[in-house]
Amino acid sequence: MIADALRGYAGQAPERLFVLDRLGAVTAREAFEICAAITPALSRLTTRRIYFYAHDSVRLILALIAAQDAGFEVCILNRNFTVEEVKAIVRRLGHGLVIADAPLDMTEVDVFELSEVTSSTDAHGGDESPHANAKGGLIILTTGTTGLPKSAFHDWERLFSARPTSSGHQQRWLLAYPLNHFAGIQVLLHVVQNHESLFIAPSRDYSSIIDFMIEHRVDAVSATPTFWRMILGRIREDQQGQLRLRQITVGGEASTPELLERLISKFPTASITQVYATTELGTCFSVKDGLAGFPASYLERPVGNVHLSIRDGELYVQSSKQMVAYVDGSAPPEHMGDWVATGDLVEQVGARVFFRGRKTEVINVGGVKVHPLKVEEAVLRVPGVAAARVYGRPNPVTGQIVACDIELEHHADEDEVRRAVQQACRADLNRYEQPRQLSVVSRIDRQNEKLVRRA
Amino acid sequence: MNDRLSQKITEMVMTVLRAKGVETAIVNPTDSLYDGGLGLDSLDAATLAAMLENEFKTDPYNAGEFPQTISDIVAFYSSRPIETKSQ
Repeated sequence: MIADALRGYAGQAPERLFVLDRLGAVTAREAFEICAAITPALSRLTTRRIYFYAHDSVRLILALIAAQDAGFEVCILNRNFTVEEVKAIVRRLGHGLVIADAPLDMTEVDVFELSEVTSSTDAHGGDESPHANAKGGLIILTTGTTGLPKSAFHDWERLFSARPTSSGHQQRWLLAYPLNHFAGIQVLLHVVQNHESLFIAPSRDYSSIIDFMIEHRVDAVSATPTFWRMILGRIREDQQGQLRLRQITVGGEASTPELLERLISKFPTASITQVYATTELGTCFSVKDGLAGFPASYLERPVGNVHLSIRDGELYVQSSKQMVAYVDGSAPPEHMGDWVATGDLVEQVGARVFFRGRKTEVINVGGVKVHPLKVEEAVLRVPGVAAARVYGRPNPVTGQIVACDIELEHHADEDEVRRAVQQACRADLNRYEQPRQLSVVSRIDRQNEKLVRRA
Repeated sequence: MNDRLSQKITEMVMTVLRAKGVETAIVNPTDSLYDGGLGLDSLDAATLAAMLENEFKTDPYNAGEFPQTISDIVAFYSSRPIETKSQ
């Protein structure tokens, strides 16, 4: 598992940079030594579960690996949660202790400082840990873009066997997803397993991230379409040649043809991989041909250990890599036997299957279904639009109307873009699909770099 | 007051008409908004409702009415204190 993989990494490439953050960097050997020192100290804690409430950092990663090695169940909480939200989640999921990177006022739960944990060592390190035989596990909270986050319990072994394989090149990955996100963990696992390097940018500001990637020669990034659009809209001409991406991975949301075309055009030598994964099912499959959707042949034969089918327009998956269960008492995902409903609506057109959006996000305009993704595709093709969010707004006449928020690229003229968006929608969309409300906003609401489509 | 209000609502109706490709120079406040008049369909009425709500924070459609003319809309707002988005 991850601690064993780090041991292997430290044995084979001890001086290779493993993780870098704003405070510094650790090599694989240093990381292994620190984890080996703190694991025994963690093992003495009399709890089964550890909640981490910390910004992504070298320290968080080392504590996470040590906690896995010590046999704990671990859950990384979104650092943007308020203390009240943290309390509510801990209450809902069951008690454990919290390791935080800032003082937390929580009386009902033990709270430890992350910096103290990662600098602690235990003189009695050789003693048998009370968790020595525990399998532990990882709890991932869903993004909650469509409601309350659910908490999926994953087995580390299943997660590890589901990771993608290396390209053979020693890649330098940006941590674009936060570690509380399933895809962030996937990137970390990939880096450890393949003896690569991980870079944590000090800021979530897109222009700073571009500078950071250039400074540290980052050549691999896994991120959402929303993240990629924001990055593409901010790369200056003089930065273009300095960004040498070899691996572009897109996931977390459906990609649009427009985005894939722009990525190919900006980074013609990069490999582009679209990953289909969910918090509950883990990584299901990937597509590397640079086209939107996936080949319809995936419906006819297993893709790795995953079987796919379409029922009533929804993608169903059968996978041996899926989560064990929700640990918050939520009802399991809708299923038919071993087939799990993904909530993703798809349509087969010839030899290709295209994503049409989330089942819960369909807009009902006077009884006619509108898929936000289709509308967003039309809007995002308009020059000057950096990001778009399409959602249903309640309406007394038709039940809902299509509303659209757009974020402009730098220096784009608002009136011009508005006119162009209206024109593009009239040309490309049916009347009921055309946005009846178009708003220019300074920042579209995002969680974990995914659009939030709640009205 | 009512003239300004009538003019504002007329502009909104003309915006809805332009969006569906209808260029109309003259819109009479007593013209029917729908069939046989200005020709707004349900989608256009939905758009108009959203525009009115954005501007005045309430609208006749949401209040359970289905105004037949611009004058009806003016009458709706004349009968209550108007709160515009600029206030």
